[in-house]
Amino acid sequence: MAELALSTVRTRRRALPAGIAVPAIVVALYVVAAIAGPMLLGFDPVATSLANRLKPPMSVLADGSLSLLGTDAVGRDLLAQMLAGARISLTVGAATLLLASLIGVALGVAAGYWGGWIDAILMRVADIQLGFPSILLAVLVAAVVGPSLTNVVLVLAVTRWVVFARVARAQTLSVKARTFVDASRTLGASDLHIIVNCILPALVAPILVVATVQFGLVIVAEASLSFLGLGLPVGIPTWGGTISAGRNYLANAWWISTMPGIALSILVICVGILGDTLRDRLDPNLVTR
Amino acid sequence: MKHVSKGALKRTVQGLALAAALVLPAAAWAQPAEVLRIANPVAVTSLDTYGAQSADQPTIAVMQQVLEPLVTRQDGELQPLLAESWENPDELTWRFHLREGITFADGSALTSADVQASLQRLIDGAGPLSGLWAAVAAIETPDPLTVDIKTSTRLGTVLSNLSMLGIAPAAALEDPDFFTAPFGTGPYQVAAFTPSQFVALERNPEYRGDPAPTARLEYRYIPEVSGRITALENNEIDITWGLPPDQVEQVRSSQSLTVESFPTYGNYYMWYNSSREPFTDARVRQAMWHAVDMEEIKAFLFEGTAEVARGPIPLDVFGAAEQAPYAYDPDRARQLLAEAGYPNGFSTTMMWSSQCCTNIREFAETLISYWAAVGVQVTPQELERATWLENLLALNWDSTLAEGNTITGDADFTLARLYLSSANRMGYANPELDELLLAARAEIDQTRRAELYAEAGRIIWEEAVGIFPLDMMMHAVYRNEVTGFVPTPTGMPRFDTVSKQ
Repeated sequence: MAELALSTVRTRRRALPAGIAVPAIVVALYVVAAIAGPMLLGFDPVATSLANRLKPPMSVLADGSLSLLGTDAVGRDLLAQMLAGARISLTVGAATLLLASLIGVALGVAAGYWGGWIDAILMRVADIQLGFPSILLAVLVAAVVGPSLTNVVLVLAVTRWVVFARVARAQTLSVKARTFVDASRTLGASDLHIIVNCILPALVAPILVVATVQFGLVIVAEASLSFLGLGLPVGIPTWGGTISAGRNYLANAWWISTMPGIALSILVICVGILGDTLRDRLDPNLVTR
Repeated sequence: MKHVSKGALKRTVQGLALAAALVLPAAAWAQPAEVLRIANPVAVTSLDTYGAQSADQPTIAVMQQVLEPLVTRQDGELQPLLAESWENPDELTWRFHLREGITFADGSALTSADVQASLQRLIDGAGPLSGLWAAVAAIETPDPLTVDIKTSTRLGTVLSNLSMLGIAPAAALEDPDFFTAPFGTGPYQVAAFTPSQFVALERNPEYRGDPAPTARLEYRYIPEVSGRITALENNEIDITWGLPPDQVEQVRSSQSLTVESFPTYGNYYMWYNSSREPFTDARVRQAMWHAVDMEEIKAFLFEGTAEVARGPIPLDVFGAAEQAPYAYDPDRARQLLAEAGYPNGFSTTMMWSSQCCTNIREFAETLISYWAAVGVQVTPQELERATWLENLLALNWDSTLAEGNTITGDADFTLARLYLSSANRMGYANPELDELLLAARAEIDQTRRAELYAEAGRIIWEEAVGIFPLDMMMHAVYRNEVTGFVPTPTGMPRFDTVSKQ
């Protein structure tokens, strides 16, 4: 389905609409900044420079360099901190999504394909988990297991797999009922063959849409955990941690909290718009297409 | 003629009634000058000063206006309060003569039985202060105005310990609900108490001295610093204290607020777990101290809020003495580390409690960067207070950063309570130090006591049992209408002299 839509676009030589192009470019810029930024503008989480503390954006530091976004409470450059934090946030986001989607798709396909008690148990577990607000669940688990990168990824993946499972299950159920699947089964195709060749390709588009939306939510969830002090340990720069550290300085050094906050907001908005537009373009059931 | 519909008329009347209803209560809420609204920076969880909260500063800060002790520390000297005189009939007995005619807020007279019950309750409570009274063998009441405290060994700290013991009525101490609305001989009594949120104090009509200028004190707990400052500026509260230095600067420029800064008995300390490698070696501990430029830290992070410490306890405390400062010398630090067998440095951790103290995270990060410059890699561990306290008491840490307060104003409270090897608070055991501290505690001659504590302080400082970076000042901030605030070096403010115009 997805390939059909994109190939149609290509043959008609229609430019990608602004709804996809602009947010995609912005997100790509963030990814590039996260990968290349810390290499160009190194950030040392240990080194402090008290003489440079709480300097506003565009000020010249004691060693003559220009600080574009200002410095924090111990004199570290905010832009460097944000670039390092971008790397962490995007890594956590990608890893969480990968893990959550793998778990969710596997469980969702299993529930949808085989049905019966597997379906019943898995979906009830999913329902129970959805009963908790996800951030509360994340805080609870994080407070127990303690701060570390792997723990944060695990915690967030645990709160996110349900959406993937439900979408995968719904899509599996609808594809499973199609004639071509019956035909394959009649010809002797094994369950695995049907899943891999018939069902999984149909999942690509909806899972992609869900993934883009969840990406934004995961990044905000990680920032929330770090803000509360339950995410990554002190010493690893994260956007949430930087925002939290700046909260006592809102009146005299507003940039410490505001700059990462703006960066976070723009990323999440673009990811959200991207997800929305992708869903509009790839959903075969939408009449407006 | 313009027709005004019935509906429009009805709505207008309703609107006016609503507006009136909103305005009138606001007029009624206009605070009379008889209420002082206080925002405390740390929550008051209990008013029981005899149990687990006996050393808890928020609890003591409120209850010091309700219960009075036998002696009180003023201007560094111990003055009689409920007791008018005392003597030592022999070296194991302290005899106190109570003033005549003092009554509690319920009208009952103060007698020696109340003193006996209060002290016994503190000892039985097994809280942080009960250890100060471990040498007490018996409390006797030969007559209603005389109390004998008999000790099994000589105890020189009785007077300063008594300054922390509020006297409550013996009969009331039997009542399990007494501490929901306690009263005593002090200028105020507790009118209302919601743990961790609200305490209200009202004038004690039976108080023997001049009535306090303000009839009612209301304490509210506002956890966020910015919230307290906003409440002050919006005239929702009148006074608060314990602001971090950066926020104090912001408040100084305000037209409606006054800042008062004063030295306290409190200080920052960093402890090494001396029972763990590599902190078993004094050279390593000293090296890390030499690696830090304390003057620069004080100038940038604590200007106007702290002084570089000159001893393990602030010099105003009885028994403190000035020591030789540790110069900022990274080369000497590296040399000491090499001598101790760590030429390439080593790795360790430092823990602290997140909401503990002024600028603690910035301070910790700065210390860590100084240590990294001499090759010592320290991993930061910022913990919730409950977890930090648990780890601290279980000695499950390499090093820790915290603030301490010698609330009695007497060196024994900090030096003996924490640095005796039997206390096992940081894994440091030195028989010479133990001997000095125990001798100082038993010494009845106060001058000799001071000398012994000075010597003990010298050992603690030179052995670098910890790093003692800063002596802390405190900032109280109040609206310009508030007058009469007198700072207390214990860092626990009193409001029985404060009034509002």
